Amino acid sequence: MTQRWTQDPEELKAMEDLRVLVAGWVESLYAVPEARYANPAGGHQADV
Amino acid sequence: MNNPQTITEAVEALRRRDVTAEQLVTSSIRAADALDSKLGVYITRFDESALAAAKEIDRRLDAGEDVGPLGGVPLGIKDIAADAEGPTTSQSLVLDPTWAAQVGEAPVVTRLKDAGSILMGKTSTMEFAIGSPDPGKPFPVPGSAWAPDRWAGGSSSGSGSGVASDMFLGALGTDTSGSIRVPAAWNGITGLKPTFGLVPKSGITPLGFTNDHPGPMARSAADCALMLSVMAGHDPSDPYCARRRPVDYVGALDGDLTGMRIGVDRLHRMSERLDSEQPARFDAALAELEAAGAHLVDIELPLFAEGGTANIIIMLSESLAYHRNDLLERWSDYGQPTRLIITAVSQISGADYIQAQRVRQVARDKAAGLFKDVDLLVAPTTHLGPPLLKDVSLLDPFAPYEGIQTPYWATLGVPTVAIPIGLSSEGTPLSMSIAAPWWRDDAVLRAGDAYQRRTSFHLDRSPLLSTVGS
Repeated sequence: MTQRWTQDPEELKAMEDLRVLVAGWVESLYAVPEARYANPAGGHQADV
Repeated sequence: MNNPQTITEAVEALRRRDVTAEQLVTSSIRAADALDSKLGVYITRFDESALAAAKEIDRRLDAGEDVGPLGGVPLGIKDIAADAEGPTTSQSLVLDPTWAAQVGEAPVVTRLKDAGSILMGKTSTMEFAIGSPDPGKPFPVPGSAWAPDRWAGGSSSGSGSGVASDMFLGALGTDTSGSIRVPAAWNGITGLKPTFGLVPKSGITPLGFTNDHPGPMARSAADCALMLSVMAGHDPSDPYCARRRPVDYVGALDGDLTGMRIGVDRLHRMSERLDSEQPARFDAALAELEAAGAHLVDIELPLFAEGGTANIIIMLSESLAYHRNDLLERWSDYGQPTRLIITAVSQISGADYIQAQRVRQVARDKAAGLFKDVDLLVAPTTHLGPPLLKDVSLLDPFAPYEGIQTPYWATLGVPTVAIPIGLSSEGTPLSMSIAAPWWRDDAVLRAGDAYQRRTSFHLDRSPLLSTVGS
């Protein structure tokens, strides 16, 4: 997938490292129990 | 008299005619001539038009005319905001040169100009306000005014280092994850991320549509209050801009925190490394808030890590939507840190983005609950000073952010001001963040000002400035 952006081996390695890092972050978001039934924020503050 | 160090002093001195606008602008130009090659503050300078504007302000002052609340004050404008004075690049080879003309001047820039300020130029940033400096591109590599071999922080880099190096008295910054507060911290000045939606962000290239906050950067909280008074208010061109009446931010500054309850989180759990001076500097700052009348309560900010993570995921996802086609067609025109950090989220799903927005809502709900018990929250802005520029890796774009504790506040959208609290073990500035409930920008400025009436860290000057002749 990352090859759609670049063919440079050094960048591809960096992108794979970043993919793994971000995947871990995303998993941490699914691990928030209170978010199980939460609505998404919309960016506006009036809904706080 | 010596040139004023703050906007507040300058406005009073101009009205008394103790100093002229031309003198202020000439002094700013002199500082830029001496230091800009070391600090990388400017992308474009407006020396000639600034001098002409200053002369016109002086003529009007001499005639007894009202020149506006910022009349004659030199300001820098982050080069992601469109203005009529000159080009806007977003520090990128990719931005369409006609973009600014297409979108028109940013309303917040127009408001600053209509208030009488003098635009000194467009300041350096990170490309499209994201990533880290890429010395391979034809743009400035911004250094801290306290240590030019260290990063000025970003992305409002030149806005921060320019205020700290006397190139202007205040600046427009923007903050999506920490981009006002980090360069404020690392240059020893004050920076306010206002409540999301208080200041219109149209006419500014977006980073994260639901996280972008334009705001003021200056030496003092009082200066930020004066600038915010001009910048705040609804504009229909920004769909996220709230229909709320701005309050009297300057009038709120009374130096007294009696009766205010402040929740304190030192956030040591968030950093593997702390500067050795940071804990003592932070505790000394807390003692000053207490001496100003506040009652301190130790708390733990709920979902601090997860809220910060949500900010990063949302910001980068929204940024990828904006840049996706350009990245596919012009990959190598982007700086390497920019293209790598934006595409870091290219393999997450729409569901993942929504999950981040759900966590954001939970974090907001929990913060709202916390604000039922306290009036303000205080935490470190960063636990470390700025990294050496030679150590900033182009291939590891998140590494320069070690020790930065700012994304959580952006995901909440609450007003948060970064306030200087003294120097680190490396001689670079440290900072605390003061946050209040949504729309209580007056409260964070009041607390920051009360602290600054008791201390002088915001007026400390980098040794570098002694090289500028008077």
